[in-house]
Formats: sequence, C-alpha cells, structure tokens
Amino acid sequence: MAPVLLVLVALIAAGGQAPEGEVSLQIDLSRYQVRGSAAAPVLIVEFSDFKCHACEKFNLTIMPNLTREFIEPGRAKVVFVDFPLVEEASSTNVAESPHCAGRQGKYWQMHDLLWEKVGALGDQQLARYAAELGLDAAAFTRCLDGDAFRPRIVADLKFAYGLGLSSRPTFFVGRSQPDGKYLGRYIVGSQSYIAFKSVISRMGGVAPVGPGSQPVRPGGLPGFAGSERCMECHPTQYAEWKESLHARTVHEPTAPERDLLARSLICGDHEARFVLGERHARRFLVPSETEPGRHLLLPCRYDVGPAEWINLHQTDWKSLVWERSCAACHTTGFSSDDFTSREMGVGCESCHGPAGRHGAYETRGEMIAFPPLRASEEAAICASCHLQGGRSGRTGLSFPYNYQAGGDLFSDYHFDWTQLDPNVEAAGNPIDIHQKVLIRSAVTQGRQDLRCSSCHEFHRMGHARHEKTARQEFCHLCHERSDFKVKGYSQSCDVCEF
Amino acid sequence: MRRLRVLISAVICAALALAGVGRVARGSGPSTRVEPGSRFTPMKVMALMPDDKTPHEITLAASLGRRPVVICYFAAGEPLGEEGLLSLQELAEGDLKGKVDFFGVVKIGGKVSVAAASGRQSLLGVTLPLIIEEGFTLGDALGVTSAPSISVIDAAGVLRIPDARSLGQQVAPGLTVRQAIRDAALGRQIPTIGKLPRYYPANELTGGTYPDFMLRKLKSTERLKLSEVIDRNSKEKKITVVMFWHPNCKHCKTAMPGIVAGYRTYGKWLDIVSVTALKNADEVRNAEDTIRAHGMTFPVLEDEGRRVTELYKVVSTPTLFFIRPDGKIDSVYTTGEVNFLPIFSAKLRSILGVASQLRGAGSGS
Repeated sequence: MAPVLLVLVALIAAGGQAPEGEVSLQIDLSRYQVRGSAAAPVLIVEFSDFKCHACEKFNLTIMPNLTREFIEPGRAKVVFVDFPLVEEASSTNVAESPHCAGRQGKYWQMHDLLWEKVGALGDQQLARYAAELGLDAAAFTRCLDGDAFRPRIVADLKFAYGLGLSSRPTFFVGRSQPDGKYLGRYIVGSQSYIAFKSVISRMGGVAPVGPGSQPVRPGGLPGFAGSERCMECHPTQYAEWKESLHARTVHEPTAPERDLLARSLICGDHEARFVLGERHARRFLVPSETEPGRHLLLPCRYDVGPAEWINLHQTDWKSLVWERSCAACHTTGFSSDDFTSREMGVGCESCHGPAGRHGAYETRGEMIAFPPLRASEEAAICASCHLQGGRSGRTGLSFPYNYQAGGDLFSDYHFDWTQLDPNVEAAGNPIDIHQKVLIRSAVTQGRQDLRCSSCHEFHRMGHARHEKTARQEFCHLCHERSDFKVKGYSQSCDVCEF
Repeated sequence: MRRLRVLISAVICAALALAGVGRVARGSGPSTRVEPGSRFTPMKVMALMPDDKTPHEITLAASLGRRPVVICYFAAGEPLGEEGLLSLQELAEGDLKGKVDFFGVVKIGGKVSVAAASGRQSLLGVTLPLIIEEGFTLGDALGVTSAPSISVIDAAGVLRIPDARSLGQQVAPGLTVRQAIRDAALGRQIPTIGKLPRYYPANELTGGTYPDFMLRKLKSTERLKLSEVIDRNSKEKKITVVMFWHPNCKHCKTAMPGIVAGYRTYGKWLDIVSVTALKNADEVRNAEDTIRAHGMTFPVLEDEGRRVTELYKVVSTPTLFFIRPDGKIDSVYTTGEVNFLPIFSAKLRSILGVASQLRGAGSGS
C-alpha cells in the first residue's frame, strides 16, 4: 500500500486546474466500460470518486436525467475515470469494486449501486452489495483482495493529474475528431443540469435528423418522427390513413385544385403551396413574404356543395399567419412555443402520440392504442381539435398548449361546458352540438357506452358506422324514444331528421 | 457613500445568486427606472463579447430606436437565469437573427467577478454580448426585481415589456414574451405591459416526464430514489405527489393539515415524497418540529445544495407536482392558500378515475 500512496502523493503535487476553452483529449476507450451507444456523437468522461460528496450529489440528481435525455436516446455516451481522493486509502478498494463486478458482467450495476450506498462502503458492505447484484461474492472478494485493478486505478489517477485536473468531479464533454482524439471542454464541479445540457447540445448531442449527421432541430415538438416512419411496420393502417380526411386536411394542390384556384376572381393570381380541406370546403395556403416558413390563407374559400367562392378577410389576410391560428389542429407535433410542426396534416402521431414513446420499436412502448382507452381518454384526444371554442390557460390561444395524445387536455384547455346546458339555447349546427355533448359526457360524466369511435372509423375517417347503426338504438342512448322518429339520415349536418 | 451603497447592493445580489434564489436587490439610490411605455435612454455599458476576457465599452444607442432590443438580466451560476439567457440565444440565432438585438446582463459582485462571468459565458457557450453590470444602473432602469428578468424594447426604443421571467410567459391574452419579440421584429405594435403577475416556472414542467433524483431522508442515512417510487406506483396505478416545502414557510404550514389529511385519506391511491432545502441546524430543527406538529408520515428528503429544487424550477414553497402513474407531470400547484384535501380527491378522480371508491374513503376519514 505504501508505494501506491507515495505515487498518489507525488501525483497530487502535480495537480492543477482543468484547461479552459475547447481542448483536445486523447483517451483509449477500449480501456473503459462505455455506457450508451458506441455510435453516440458526444463523449462524456467523468473523473470522479465514490467518496466525494459533490460527485455523489451529481450522480444522484443530475446524472439520472442526463442519462434519460442524452445517453439512452444515443446522443451521448459516458465513461468513468477513477479519480479517488488520496487521503482515503480505502477509496481505491471502493473504486475497484465496479471493475471486479465488471468481470462478472455487472460493471455499471455496481457503479450505480455504490452511489446509492455512499456512506456505507466498507469492505463487508461491498461484499454484500455484490451478493445483492447476484454476483459470485467469493470471486468478487478474491478480486478485491488480490488488488487486481489497483494498478489500473493508479493509471487513471495519473491520467487525470496528467491532464491538469484537481477537482472532483470534473467532466470532459467532447466530440470525436478524425485523428481519433476528442475535441471538447472541461466542466469542473457538480454544475447545474442546464450547464451540462448546454455543453452536450453544443458538442452535437442532439438527435441527428435528415441526411448526414448534421445536428438540425426538426420543427415541432420533440419525439415526433412523422407518419412515413410508421409505414414500415404498419403498411395497411398507413394506406387507409393516407386516403383519409385526416391525412388530407392539408395537402399539396392537385392539378384540378390548381385550375380551380386559377378561376377565382379574387385569389386567381396566387399559386397555392398547400390546400386546406377537401370534402366540404377548400382554403389555399401561400408562403408568407415577411415570415419565412410561415403561411397565409388566401382571402377566399371554395364551398364544394354549392360550388361557389366566398370572399373573406379581404383587408387583413396578410397579417393572419396560419401557423398562429389554425396549424395546431391541421398539423402533427405542433409546438405552441415556436408555432412549428413536424408534419402537415393530421398524422399517426396526432392520435397515437409521438413515435419517441415507441421505445426500440419492438414493443408498443407508451404509444396510444385505441381499443383499451377509456371513453374519456379517447374523447380527450379528439377534443383537442374537435372541441372548438375553448382556450389554453397557458397561452390564451384557441388551441391547447403543446398537447400530445394521452396528455391531460383539460389541465390547460378550458372549455365552458355551461354553454351545453339544456337551459342555454345551443348555437351551432347539430353535428357540433352532438360532438360537444358526447365529449362532455365522456370527460366529465365518465360515460362509457358512447364514444367517438362508436360512429367514426379514424383511419378511413368514414361516417359509415352512422348509417350502419340501427339509428333508433343509437339515438335513444341520449334521447327518449318517444321524443322523435327518425325519418332519414344526412351526413352533412342534420345527423337525424326528426 | 453612493459607491458604498452600490457595493453593498452588489454583494447582496451576489449572495442571493449564490444561494440560488435568483432575486436581485434594487439599488438603494434614487430610482432611475424607465416607466413602461417610455423611451429607453441609450447608455454606455461594458460588455464581454464571445471569447473576450476583458469587457469593452459599447453603447446601446447603436441598437435603440433602430431595431427591437431584448435584454436578459441574470445571475451567473443560477440555473433559471442561465436557462432564460440560453433560450433567448436560441431565438437570436434562429429566424430573428439580425432583426432583433439581444443582450445578456450579468451582475458583478461578491464572488461573481468579471473573470467568473467570462468563464460562465464560455462554459454555457453564450454568443450574445454580455453586459457587465457592476452597479445596478441598467437593472434599476429596467425595473429588475428578480432573475432572469427579460425586457423587450420595441424598434422605436420604447420599453414595452419589463421584468418578464420566461419566453413562454403570457404577458397579455394570447401573447407570450416570445411572440411579442417576434411581433416587434416584424414591426408590429406590441402592447405596453405595466406589472406582470408572479410567474412560476415550475408550471413549465407540466406534461413532461418527472426529473429523477435520489436524496437522503432528513436526519437519516437512508436514501429514497423517486424513480423507484414511481415505477412501483406505475404498477399499482397510484399518483405520486412531489412536494417542495420549507419549515420557515408560512404558506406551507397553512397547507400542511390538508396535505397530511389527504395522504391519510387517500394513501391507497397516492404517495407523497416531500423535499426540503435546509441551510443550517436551526432549519433542520424547525423541520423536525414541523414534521412532529403536523404528523407528517410521508418521506421528507433533504435537498442539500438545492439541485433538485433547481431541476423542478421551484421558486416558492409549497409547490406540489402531481405525477401520473405513467411518470408524466399532470399538474403543478404553487400556492399554499388552499385546502389540498379536495384537490387530492379531484386529482384522483381525473387521473385515476376512481370516483366511486373515493366516496367511501372520504366518508371514512
């Protein structure tokens, strides 16, 4: 033990401050256990000691969240360099424990457990933790007693001191260079989460999207992948959805639609980038000239039924940015923070939640599947767009703030249910009123027997079930049978003709 | 004398910043505050540019009256302020580049030296000009009361929004600070905002996954890991309430009977994990007294160094986070002046849908 300590004391004298600014680090990763994907663009090197209080705090509060945000999604990987305090000779014994556990394939399990047990890291306790992890405790103890990894701990110390480090914990965060080294910077001490996040993100620890590995932030909320991604494993559902009104709520103009627009007296001079709607009416979107990436609705609407143009917002249409008023319900993964979205149209993730919840795509993960949903949960997803007339408590806008399927819509989106009170004369067409009453009964009264999917097939977005349903059976769920007699049925607005 | 007052003010600011409080003391001299709706007077300031070690003099006259100006006052090392500054920088480097001039302002004093500010600028990758404020002239003019403090001055040089806390903060119906900056960049009129209501950044966590942590129980060697509690509650379909409180907090004492009663009544459906950041032995004793006086039987964890308080963006106590069984934060309560017993009941109904069972539990209490 004495020679080891002498080496350590000599090394401490050489200790200094971590270099500032961007520096290059040469580290042989094959010597270390790496947590995270080997292909991750950012390397985090933690120089730390299990008996250092600041290191403990970091590993029990900041590190679990960095692991969740950067390491598990493959944005960063981490290695641990033993940097034990010289005053504590037993530190090296503790530091050897993960390595001895690593011989039995449980390096990181022991590493994590040691942080949770700081304050109780005596030799007997270490042996007990080995047993807790299901290790061969005798082999583990032999490994510790044999000092098999002590030279390695000393080598790590030399490495850290040689870099000019003296504080525990110290971190290096960098990205690999063509010469095999890493270019990055040191973070000294247990800094705040935002400080780590800032450095890791700057080093490229954001999920690469699009061609190449250029870190580009996609528009919209994080975790959304786009409907095309779903097609690979769900081709049938994708094909059905692709033809639905949900998919086509925003679409690129077809040749007949371009011709149609050209015939408009007011809007005919414009070339539409997108068309909004199809079945009942069409609006046309053009790029904003003053705000790149935003769109404006042309001041005219084509109503399909009467085949006529209606002029609206003639004077102020250039100031009405579509992304701030309508896009939340006509796009997927919409962010109220910056008014961007992941995908035009109502895509798979609008109702099933972001694909980021899918985990490794081998299981459903936390994706929303409809049959198991309670009526209230299903209604909330539909209500996020179809319950019009509410306000976001967070933004005051007419659509919910950053809603994702499965979220608690009504914690932010406030709707005045009293307007549906029988004593209040209900305004609006019968379909709207039926929708709202149904949503209210599911959400606030826990009704289970009637839900949105009772009448609608979401992928096909058809109304076929309306017609298949024996209508008197369907209607009497809410209405007294004696109240009415169905004479006919109309898809457009009357629902049932009384 | 005035210099002394300014120095004292600077030391107080730095001390508060180090404590992670984020409050910024006002100058003690005569107020030179620019009233919202008035033209902001150009002044010369010292600023650090990226990779600078020493500040250079710049004049705000180069920006004021020409382009909208956004100024973010923050305390070095205080996470909320630094996050505010970085969110502003993201905006500055996006589509508003060249249309709006953004500045950070860092308060110098106490342990926060110019060198420390420069180090922080380098660590965080701050590319905005960083104004060095050794007194409180700019802070006073902007009416800064706490950090971060975001001020928006329109293209005509008129102070429109003073002392906001976050880009996502709503300053008028349908108008967030972020949108107001965008509107200003487009030459649109933005309203003059006098005094904003108190903003609770903890609400920004709503809808997201809970930040995980492991802390030691008060006066114990035993630790508790939140993810283990939530994993268990996920299987048992229970809500987890993470409550931040402090023994010296009056509102916490008001709220505690309802919280304790809620835990006793509805413990079958919810767990409470409480967190308190204590500074000294007196506060530890007060905490123990409070626990005894109210019969708090749920875990009390000590947040030494306030890292967890920072992760949850808690700026006042009590703050309660209701976490669904799936680990998503359902809602945040930042007031103590309510009876939490019925709130617990309402949350169990809305999150777990256990209305009928609750009636029995409520009557049995």
